[in-house]
Amino acid sequence: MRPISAMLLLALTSPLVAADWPQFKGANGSGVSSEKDLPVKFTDKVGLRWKVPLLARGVSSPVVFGDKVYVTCSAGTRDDRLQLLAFDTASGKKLWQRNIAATGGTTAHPKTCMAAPTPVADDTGIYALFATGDILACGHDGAVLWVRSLTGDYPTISNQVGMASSPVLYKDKLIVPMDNAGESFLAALDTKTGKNIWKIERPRDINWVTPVIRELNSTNAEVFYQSQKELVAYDVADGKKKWSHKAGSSSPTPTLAEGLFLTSSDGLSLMKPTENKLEEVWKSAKYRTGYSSPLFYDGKIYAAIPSTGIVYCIDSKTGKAVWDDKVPGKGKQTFSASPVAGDGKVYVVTESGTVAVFKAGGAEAELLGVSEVGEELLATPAISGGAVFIRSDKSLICMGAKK
Amino acid sequence: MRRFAILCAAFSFGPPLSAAELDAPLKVINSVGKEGAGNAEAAKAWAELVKAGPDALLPILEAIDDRKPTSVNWLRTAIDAIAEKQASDGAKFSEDSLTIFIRNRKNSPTARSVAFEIFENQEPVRSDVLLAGFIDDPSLELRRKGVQKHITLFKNDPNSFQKIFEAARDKDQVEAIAKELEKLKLPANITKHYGYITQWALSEDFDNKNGLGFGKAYPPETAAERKDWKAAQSSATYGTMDLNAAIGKKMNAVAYASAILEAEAELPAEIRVASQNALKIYLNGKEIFAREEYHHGTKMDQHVAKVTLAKGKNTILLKVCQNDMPYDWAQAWGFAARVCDATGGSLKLKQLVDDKPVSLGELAPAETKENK
Repeated sequence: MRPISAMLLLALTSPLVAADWPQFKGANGSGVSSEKDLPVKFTDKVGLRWKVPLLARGVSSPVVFGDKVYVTCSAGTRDDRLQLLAFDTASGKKLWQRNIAATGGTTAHPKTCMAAPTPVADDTGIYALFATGDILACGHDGAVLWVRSLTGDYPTISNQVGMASSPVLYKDKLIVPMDNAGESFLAALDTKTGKNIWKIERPRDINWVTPVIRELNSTNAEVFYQSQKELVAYDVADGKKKWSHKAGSSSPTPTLAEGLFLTSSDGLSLMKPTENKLEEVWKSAKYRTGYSSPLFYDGKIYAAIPSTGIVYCIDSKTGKAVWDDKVPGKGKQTFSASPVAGDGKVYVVTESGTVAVFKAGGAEAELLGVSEVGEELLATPAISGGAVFIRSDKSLICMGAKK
Repeated sequence: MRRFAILCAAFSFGPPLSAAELDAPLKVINSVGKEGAGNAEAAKAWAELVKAGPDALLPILEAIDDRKPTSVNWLRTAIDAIAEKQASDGAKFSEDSLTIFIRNRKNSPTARSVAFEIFENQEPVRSDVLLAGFIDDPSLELRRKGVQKHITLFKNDPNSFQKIFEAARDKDQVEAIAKELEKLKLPANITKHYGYITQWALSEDFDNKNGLGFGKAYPPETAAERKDWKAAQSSATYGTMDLNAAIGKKMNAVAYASAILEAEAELPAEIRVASQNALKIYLNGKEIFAREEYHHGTKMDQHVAKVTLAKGKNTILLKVCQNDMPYDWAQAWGFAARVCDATGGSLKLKQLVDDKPVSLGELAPAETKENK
């Protein structure tokens, strides 16, 4: 696999190569793309590269790797038919689809479904975890690399609200978060075989946070995994607990950016990671983002506050709001998806189907574009190849110039 | 395997592979174990099957064994890849071979459903003739299609609707048909249809402070003699037993509910329970299911325990634990339980209440339409 840093370097030095968006919230969950010339709005006639129907539901985000965009879906009367689909980023043509049956329970809150965790990709393939505890690993050509049934292996796994934490990759390890009401663990699976490299016990409590990798040097890294009680740093090599910090939250997902750690625990906190602890830079109870994870972009923090429809731009040095603005649109606007950014633009999608693009930074809010999808938007968008990939409950949309 | 070869030969494209050649990769995939054991070998076997192309379809379908869900998923994806290649080549699978496979109910319900999907995609019009035959299919996917077809075909025939009601398993279809029967003033008892146990003997409550009661064996789990248990009967269509109402509102509490079912012969069955609370299920004194999860949601048939009922009396014991969460949404304490076959259909069972046989699904007389 290409190391994350190498991928970023490649993207930054070669404008002809699209920067991948390989996991939930892009490279290492930053929510930030290095791409330029990104679009700000679209209609059916202008600024829409393509739109394809999705025949089944999913709240997982699209991921982009190379010339393919991947989504997961779940279908069926019992929501037990799990799908991984690959589309061509240029045309939207479906390239392949793999179907598996749920081997774990499918009870979940109606807002979510079994296609809630976002898949993750690297050079070797695409790895899709479903809320049932099923994992399907495929090459980019659709050849199956391996299959796992975590509930088959560990039968007490259960989260009847619906699991949504996404796996992440570090070199040859697929890091699988599995906090739930039954046997809970964080595991590193061999990307080649799906076998456990290490598996460490975790508290039995439901959790929706996606782990974050912190590279210490070319050979060492930590995986940060936050839950309701604390944030723990584990050694990626062997899963050993290195240190923990009392900053609890079961959603949203923290962000590591510009050497700082942005996390939610009774509001928003900015922390500075040191060798074995986190030092608080500031904390504010004002910014409570619910399911939506905050964004750290170019010295500013962006927080979408559910139920209010308000997006805050926050000075990362002080925690003070620089500006705030309400996303326009019909009816009450609220957020499940996380804001993402690139090319000096911040992309926010609302549950009712509005795509709003703000100019990043500035002393006042500047809305660059607003588009209406007319479909429910719960998934965080992906940015790659000069386009923004938006997944609704019915469609996959590529906002960008036609190729 | 000879039959596989004959069926393979019926495919239009590519030379048929020998059964022996396909047996090896199929065996590898059907041998994958726990925690990824055998995955590396299975990936190679998967590629061999896909490379074999359309001739491998029926052997793969035949190899699907529903008792091995991980292997089924491996095989299902191999079929996806083969079917995609066929479609992109503009080629078709043998209609006769698919039809024979689908009609043979000795084949795996999953495999037959997959085969029908392929047939349906390939021949949307001609595959339609099979639908009516799925009305009582062991595959829930196919049965659903069959029920829908019968609803369309016999929309104005009340007698047929009663038969369709008996065949239906999915809640949305059952409720829709029941509504039509109600309009025709014909009986449609959902509670009996699903085989809900509505009459229970309830224990006193026990302590569950700090959730410790879940793992503690209180006397109802060990004592053969059960004195002073209280009879309670559900009035809910889906058999909900509200313990707050039946025992009294308690927090940090454990209650037990017991029912005795009588089977005419030994038979495989499923005990299906829905509950917001931590739950254990015992059959004839043996723990067969445990789930320590509180107030994370509930739905019909949420928990399933596959069992074999003994000939004669069978005692089902449920342990239902409530915690102390103060929120409004965490006050539910109860359950709904039924015993059914693998399709979710009711079984020919009697319940013994005070040693007298009664039918399953009898609701308390005062209310019959509430608390769905």
